[in-house]
Amino acid sequence: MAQLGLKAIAASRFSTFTSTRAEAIETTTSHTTPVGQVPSQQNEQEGPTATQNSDNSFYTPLQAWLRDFRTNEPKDMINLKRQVFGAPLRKDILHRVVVWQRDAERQGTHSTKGRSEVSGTTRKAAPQKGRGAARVGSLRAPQRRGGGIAFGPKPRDHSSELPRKVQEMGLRIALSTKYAQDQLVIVDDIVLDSHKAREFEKIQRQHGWDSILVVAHQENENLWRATNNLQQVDVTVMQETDVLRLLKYQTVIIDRKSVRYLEKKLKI
Amino acid sequence: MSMHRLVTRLSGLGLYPTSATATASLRTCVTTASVSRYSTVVPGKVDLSNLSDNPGSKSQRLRVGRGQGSGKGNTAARGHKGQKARAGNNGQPKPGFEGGQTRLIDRLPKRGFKNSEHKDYQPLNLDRLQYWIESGRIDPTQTITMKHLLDSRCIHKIQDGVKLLGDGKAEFKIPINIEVSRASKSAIKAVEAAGGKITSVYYNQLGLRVLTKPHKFEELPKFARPMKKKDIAFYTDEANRGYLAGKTEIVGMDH
Repeated sequence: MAQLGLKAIAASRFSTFTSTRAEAIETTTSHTTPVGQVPSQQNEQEGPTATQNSDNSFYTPLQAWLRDFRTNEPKDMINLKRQVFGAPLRKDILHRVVVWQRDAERQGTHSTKGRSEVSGTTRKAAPQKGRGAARVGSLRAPQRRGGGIAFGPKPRDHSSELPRKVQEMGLRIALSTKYAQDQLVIVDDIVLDSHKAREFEKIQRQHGWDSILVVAHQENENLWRATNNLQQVDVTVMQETDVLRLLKYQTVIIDRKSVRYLEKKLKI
Repeated sequence: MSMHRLVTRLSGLGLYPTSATATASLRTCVTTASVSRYSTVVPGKVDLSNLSDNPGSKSQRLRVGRGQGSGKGNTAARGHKGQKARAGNNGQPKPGFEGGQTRLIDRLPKRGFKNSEHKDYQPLNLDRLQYWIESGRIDPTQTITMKHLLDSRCIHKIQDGVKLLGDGKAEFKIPINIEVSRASKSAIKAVEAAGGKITSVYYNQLGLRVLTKPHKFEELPKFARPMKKKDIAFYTDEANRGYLAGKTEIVGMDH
């Protein structure tokens, strides 16, 4: 957490899962063919298959390329859970989740002074009677120049509530949207040789990735340092994947372990 | 599925040009295939700029007393005069208000007192526990904690803990290792006669929550030890099978 800095702290408010729960998830299970091996009959049985995922015999798993992070070359195919990466598009749910997230992001520190807080005299401005003019009391009343603000903003919490099941549904839809729009790049592992932004930008230029969100299965010092100063790049750990950032950035780079984690966490 | 099989399937559907070999063209074909077959995509890309809730899902707030044109201007939907037209409590008297007569709750004197030390332990009898084990709902080979009891619905709520009681002691023959808040003398005798073990363990409210719902915590807090003299005395007593028996230095009783 400390490594990923403020971005991650801000995001963690929307994390649907806690770290304890994350540890319980087994992320090491590989469902795809190991790199450099010819896919055998046995390997094809792994990952979501027709029999284990649905009683519908017409069920076929979704498929995507498993790419190399640096070269963007396809290495293998990867099967995806249809529940998580093939959910029907519900723009209304995405809207609700995004509004809920942005509500919670509001600082709510706006403040004005009412008539009791504006500094100044509390003396009665003119005698009550005998002046031949209207009655005047306080000089700090809202209708007077320099007076207080009536019903002005005061610091408050803007956060709203959203059922957890809707939050999780939102994540499924956001991931499915990215997949359907060809904006989801699944990579084997995210490895950077150095912490220099130059190196990361080189990879970015090579692949034509404009604005990207990188979802890594664990905190990555090099990745964080390399992207910290890039405006169009954001990094998150898999437990803190959120709808707002999935939609904010054009392309989502996600590693295989994170895919398996999200499939397990978000299954219905 | 291997890359080869995908290509075969796509060319079978007429989606994959057999002459083309470039990876890029295969990539577009894969996308097109998933789009046309599963229709999870809409024209144009979905992003933050084109989200909206369903029409009719939000209704406008009613603004009363803001002019005749609104239809709720003059009396602001409150009708003419009377208690319900006035401000405060939405025009309804507070619950228990009897029109100015002394309320029933004020007429009657206070009685009794509430003991802040009082604890409610869920009773659990040996016959029920035995039935649960025999019907396979509790695993007797493991240490049975109050979480196991609650999860298997042997007890229905945990309150301040569980006290094991001795009903059915004559028939109780299963050797078990059980951790509860308290146990009666006859229950201890019966469990130990069957070759089992009872430990009385102290849990405060937080500790019970940690025990029964560990998934609710990001970081598991430590279990508190008893602080009250009464509790310390109970849980250090071997007769109660207290978990601190013989460990007086831990609870600060050594001086």
